[in-house]
Amino acid sequence: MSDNRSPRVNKARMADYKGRTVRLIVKILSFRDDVAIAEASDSGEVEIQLLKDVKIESAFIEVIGQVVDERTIKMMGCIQLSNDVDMKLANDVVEVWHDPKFASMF
Amino acid sequence: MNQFGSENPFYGGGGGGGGGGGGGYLSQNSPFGSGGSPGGTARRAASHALRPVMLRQLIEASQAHTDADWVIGDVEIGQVTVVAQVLSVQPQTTNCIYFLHDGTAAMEARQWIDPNTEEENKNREDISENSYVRVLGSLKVFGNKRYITATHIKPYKGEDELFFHILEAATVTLTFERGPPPRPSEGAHALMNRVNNHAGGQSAYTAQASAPSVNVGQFAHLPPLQRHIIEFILTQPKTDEGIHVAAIARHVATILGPEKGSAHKISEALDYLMDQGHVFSTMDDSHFNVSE
Repeated sequence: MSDNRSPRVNKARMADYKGRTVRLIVKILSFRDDVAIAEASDSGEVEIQLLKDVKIESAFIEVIGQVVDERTIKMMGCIQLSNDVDMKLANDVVEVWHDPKFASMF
Repeated sequence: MNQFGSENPFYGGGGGGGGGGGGGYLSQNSPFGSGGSPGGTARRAASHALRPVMLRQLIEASQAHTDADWVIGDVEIGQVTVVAQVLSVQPQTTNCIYFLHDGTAAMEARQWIDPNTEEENKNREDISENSYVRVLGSLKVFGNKRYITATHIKPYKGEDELFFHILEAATVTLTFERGPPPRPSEGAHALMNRVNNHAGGQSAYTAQASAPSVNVGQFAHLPPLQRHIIEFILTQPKTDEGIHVAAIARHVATILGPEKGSAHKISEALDYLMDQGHVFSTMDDSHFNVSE
């Protein structure tokens, strides 16, 4: 899936997109140097390799980045979200995104 | 469902349904083809329509010729709305260019600036890179580059708006493909029938036993094909135009399979039902309603 697509994923789906760019909505759990540990919409834990100079101020962010392996993503861009994101809804959206019924849209 | 535009393949006038043997109910192409667009009326109605979409649908939309309406799949679109991330903002003298991305594709949106409009200017200041915005506008093309001319661009109201938009765009696309979902009152009934019919070969008896609706009770003596036709018409929203035979055919074929639900058999069944007075044709030979 080249060109310009960045599908929405959760932890379980990351493994299908190794090396590709994805969008991941996460809740930040902790920071360690330049790596953040966060929880994806399906409650899976992921590791985010942070971009330098990006200050993360909210509890939830959308990470746009390249999947390194099934639990690590290298951030290329980041969108700060509010402090109260419905993760169950976010996960339902991820599942709809990948539903074959909508393959022509997403 | 009018807010999603006029284009419902089941309610557009049947394309080429007249003539031929078997009462000529079905278009020459195939019993499962979608009904054609009635042309003039649809075009006027489409321009008032507003459809939530993903940018990829706009990239892949097609246009019969310049100045024709844009079409996503088979459906004409008027105005569109997207919720996307702003990658960059480029203000210019007369307009402002936003580069957008929503995960499915990237596209430009241009908004013309009127220096006198105070409210718009204030909104624009709230829009920064790497934030999500709600865009309303129309799809345009210049050369071979597509873009949105936006009438409104404003910051989104929160992640819920983003999620809602994605799910709404999916719902609308599916609704155009398959017709609206069953109403809550008939929902259980329609689903139960589908489940029972898939459960095995006893479809005739199982469906009868489980049908709770009084309406279907009076049709219980009919053979399964005719009963399915009537049940399907009953579960659809009630309109004066009735239900297009292609929609009936598609539904029946799903339940009974292509042999028992063939175009020929459906024609025969409809003929019989009309003779008995259970159904009647409405605006043309391709639309039917159940008599009450």
